[in-house]
Amino acid sequence: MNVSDIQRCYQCGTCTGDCPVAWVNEEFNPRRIVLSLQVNGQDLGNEAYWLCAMCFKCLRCPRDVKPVEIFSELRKMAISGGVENVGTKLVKAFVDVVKEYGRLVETKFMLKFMGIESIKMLPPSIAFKMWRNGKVSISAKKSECAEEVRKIFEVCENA
Amino acid sequence: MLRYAYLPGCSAESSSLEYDMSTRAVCKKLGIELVDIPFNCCGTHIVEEFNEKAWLALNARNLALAEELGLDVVTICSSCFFNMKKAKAMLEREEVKSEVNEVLERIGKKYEGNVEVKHILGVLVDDYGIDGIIRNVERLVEVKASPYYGCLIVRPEEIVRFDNTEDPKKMEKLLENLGCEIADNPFKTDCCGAPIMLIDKESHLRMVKRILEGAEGADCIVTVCPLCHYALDVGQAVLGMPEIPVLHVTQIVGLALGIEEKELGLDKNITPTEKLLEKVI
Repeated sequence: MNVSDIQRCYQCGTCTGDCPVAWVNEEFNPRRIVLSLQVNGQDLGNEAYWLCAMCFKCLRCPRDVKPVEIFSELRKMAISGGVENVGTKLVKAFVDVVKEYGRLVETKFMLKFMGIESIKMLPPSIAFKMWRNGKVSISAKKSECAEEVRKIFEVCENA
Repeated sequence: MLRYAYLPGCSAESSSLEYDMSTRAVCKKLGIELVDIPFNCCGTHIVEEFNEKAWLALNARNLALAEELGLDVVTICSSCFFNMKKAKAMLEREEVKSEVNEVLERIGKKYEGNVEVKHILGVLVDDYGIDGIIRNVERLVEVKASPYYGCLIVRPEEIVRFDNTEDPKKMEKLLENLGCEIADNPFKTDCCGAPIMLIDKESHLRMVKRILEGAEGADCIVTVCPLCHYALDVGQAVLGMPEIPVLHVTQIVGLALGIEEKELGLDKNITPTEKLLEKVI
């Protein structure tokens, strides 16, 4: 997918009618974002690019533009371009945890991304129930695969 | 006897432990052998966007682990399913495969390309087969069940090739044969918003609300992905909505097979399952 594919878009809005995020959040309107890309070009700091949930609902495009892939390309550029925003911060937290543990340890990821604010993610009664039911891993161990995963990242990042 | 390399995914160790418990219990009862492998995170689109080669290598490593055993790999997570399928398709190009194998060589692994990626729903419905499951049903689960598929098990079609993308029916077919009445949800293939949960919690909860409203009147919702399950099960508690129990597909199959509730982890769900169980048991 090339970001230049956006020039094919003729603004029919099929993607936006299908997009479950657009239904609940006016700020995320794929048709308008594509229009803005056509007219103004990309703005890699735009946090709206990170609201795409990657659900592939927008593939019924009659012009085969695939907004989902465009947002993914724009995020790749934001990451490699060193943009600092909520999206790239989330990526860093996710990647750091996978690199260290080999798997995604949910609590470590939340703490790394949100710090102490992660306590506010759930109302206390629900958080307590999660913990009581064994769904919160506080003392995570590294997975058996952790060393191999670390090596994979090391090799690929230095390529 | 059916045998698979088993890749439950990262959330099976914490937020979705009852999905893993119920999968193991159901497979044991049906005589499907699951062989544990030292799998790694599939990386999701997050690692793919961070470093595509690393994401490919992570998935190739998982596939190689199954291949070493001469087995196909089964996962219970739609994200792992999609990521492995997508990586496998990309690795069909020889130059991509040899580049990734250069990375795997550094950890003593090699990916050949002789492994199929399965989702537990496909294993139950297609590989084991509905007839086989019917033969093992010990009690009918006569409740109104609302299937919820979410995204990555059905889309994009050219990668997952699992079921009809607009109106999938595998779960309906399975549930009807367990004794369930189907409560259709018009949003059964809409996204729960889990991938943006940490970026925009309010939008995520509004997406959850829409799906829950679509299942109104059902006795339970049935999911096939740990992230969808978390979104709907925990989400309705956060929203303070009327309680509709959310069951992993293997939990409801397990009930029909006569497996004990504790073994299926039905006491681990956040939205209480007691009232539903009263109807079944």
